[in-house]
Amino acid sequence: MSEEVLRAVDLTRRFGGVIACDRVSLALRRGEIHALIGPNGAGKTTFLNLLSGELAADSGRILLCGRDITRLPTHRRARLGLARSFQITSILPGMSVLENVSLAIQAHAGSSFRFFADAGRDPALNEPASELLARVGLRECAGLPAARLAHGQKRVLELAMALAGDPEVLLLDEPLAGLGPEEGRRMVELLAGLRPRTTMLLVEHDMDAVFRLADRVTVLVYGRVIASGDPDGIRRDPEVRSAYLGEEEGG
Amino acid sequence: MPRLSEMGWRWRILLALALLSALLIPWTGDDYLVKLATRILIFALAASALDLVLGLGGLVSFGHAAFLGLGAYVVGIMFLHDFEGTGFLGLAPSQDIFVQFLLAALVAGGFALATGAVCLRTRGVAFIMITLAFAQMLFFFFVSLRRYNGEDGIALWNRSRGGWLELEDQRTFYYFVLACLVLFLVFAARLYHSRFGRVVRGSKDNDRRMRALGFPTYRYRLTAYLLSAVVTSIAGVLLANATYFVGPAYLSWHMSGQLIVMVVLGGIGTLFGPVLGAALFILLEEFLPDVLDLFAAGAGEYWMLLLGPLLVIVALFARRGLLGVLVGTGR
Repeated sequence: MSEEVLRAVDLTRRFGGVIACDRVSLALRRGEIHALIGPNGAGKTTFLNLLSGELAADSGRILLCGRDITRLPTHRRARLGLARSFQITSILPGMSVLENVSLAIQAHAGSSFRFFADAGRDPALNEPASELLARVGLRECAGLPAARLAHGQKRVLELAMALAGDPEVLLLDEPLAGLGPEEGRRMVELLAGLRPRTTMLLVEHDMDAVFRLADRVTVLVYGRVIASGDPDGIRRDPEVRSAYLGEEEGG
Repeated sequence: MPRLSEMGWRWRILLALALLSALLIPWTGDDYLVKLATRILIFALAASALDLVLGLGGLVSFGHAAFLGLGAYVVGIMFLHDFEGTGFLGLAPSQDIFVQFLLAALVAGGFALATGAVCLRTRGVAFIMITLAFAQMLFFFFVSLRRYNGEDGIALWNRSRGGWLELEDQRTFYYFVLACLVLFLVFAARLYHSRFGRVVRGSKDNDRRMRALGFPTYRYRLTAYLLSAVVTSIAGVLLANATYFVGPAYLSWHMSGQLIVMVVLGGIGTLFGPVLGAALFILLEEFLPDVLDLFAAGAGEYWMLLLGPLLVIVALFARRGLLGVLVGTGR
């Protein structure tokens, strides 16, 4: 049994009368890719938002490397190594591609209450940012305004930003959403290449990608975990098939 | 807002022309012109300071007159107590302009921290309305403050003292104001590209992303708000000295609106643009009525009718304002 990086214990969140997350427990082992799947409205994004701190949990606990982070705000969790990408691409469109990543580096590089020195020319920020861009294959676009990138490139840029500061855990909310087949294939390769350095929790609808990448899979339906285990076991699980996979076979 | 070393020739020519004309104006010997230019420089300082929150932070503060007014009232209140020979809260009043700068910064900074801590938890229209509400509170406070002449305001018999600088001399005062503005613009240009400036700009672009990256953006926006307020209050100290008058009108929402108009006219988020915006606004305010009166007697009163469409045109077609038109919209 390898070390646990992130552990959610009985996380619950209600919206009015609806229970979006119902005592969800999940543990990420160091270096694994753990996929979280389930039909639309199952509470996957809510669960990610609880983990990243955008939503407060009604009850339950979250441990990052053994430390209780349940009550910490988003930015503190990020500083402790919990990075994420969003379902709808979230970058800084008004800045250059390099600036996007070097700001992400800056978040992990000491105080930003510095008012005089030119951050855009700080090699301590730009060099790691350039390396990251090279790693994800966006080096040529470094000088472009981020808003001008193609959709697929924006998703890759967001991934690069999330990777800044070498996070303990990467929460990925549908990284393949809106990507064409070729772009999707490259994204899968990119994610596979991050293993085992980065532990990932992957929410994704593309089942081919999920079963190619995931070491373990957890299935969420109506806010509850109905199954968790290795991909083959999940594929054969009759409850999962009826609740979720069965719907997909037609399409 | 490019770095100095990356500025194109149009930027350089514009900067050189602006600086040269600013330096030469007092040598025309025209007292009226120097006074008008002084007014422009003071509002340029206030408008650029407002751009720190409006342009960089994307926070439309509709209450910046409060900070301008607080700065002005520091001068007025100090003058009054010095004139009467009374103490203020048990302290001896000072007419030294640098002491007044410090006081203005403390008072406006305190007000900015207290109100900003509330305002900055909101966004969009709510932010606009809450900043307006706080400024209006202060406006009515000073209107009803009998001790300091309520809505009649305080007429000053002399300017603040500037140590060995003879501020009473219009030319010296003009250069003093110019120095304040240039100092701030140099600082603002550095700030724009600094780590701090990038975080504030990033927070305007996508606050959620910035927090997910690990930035406590609230703190950065509050600091930007504080900086902007302090510099605006400095402009208030200068304004009181330029007009020999302090009154609640400086705190009115018209004043907040004028500052926003100057920023929009000149170019939001460019820091230097608002200087042009302030110049354009004050020149229009000064000369447009006379021009209109030439066409029809009494038409001058309605000069704002022309300002409106101009603002609409700038907002629609020149997103970087007058500065964008002059130096191009490229970064």
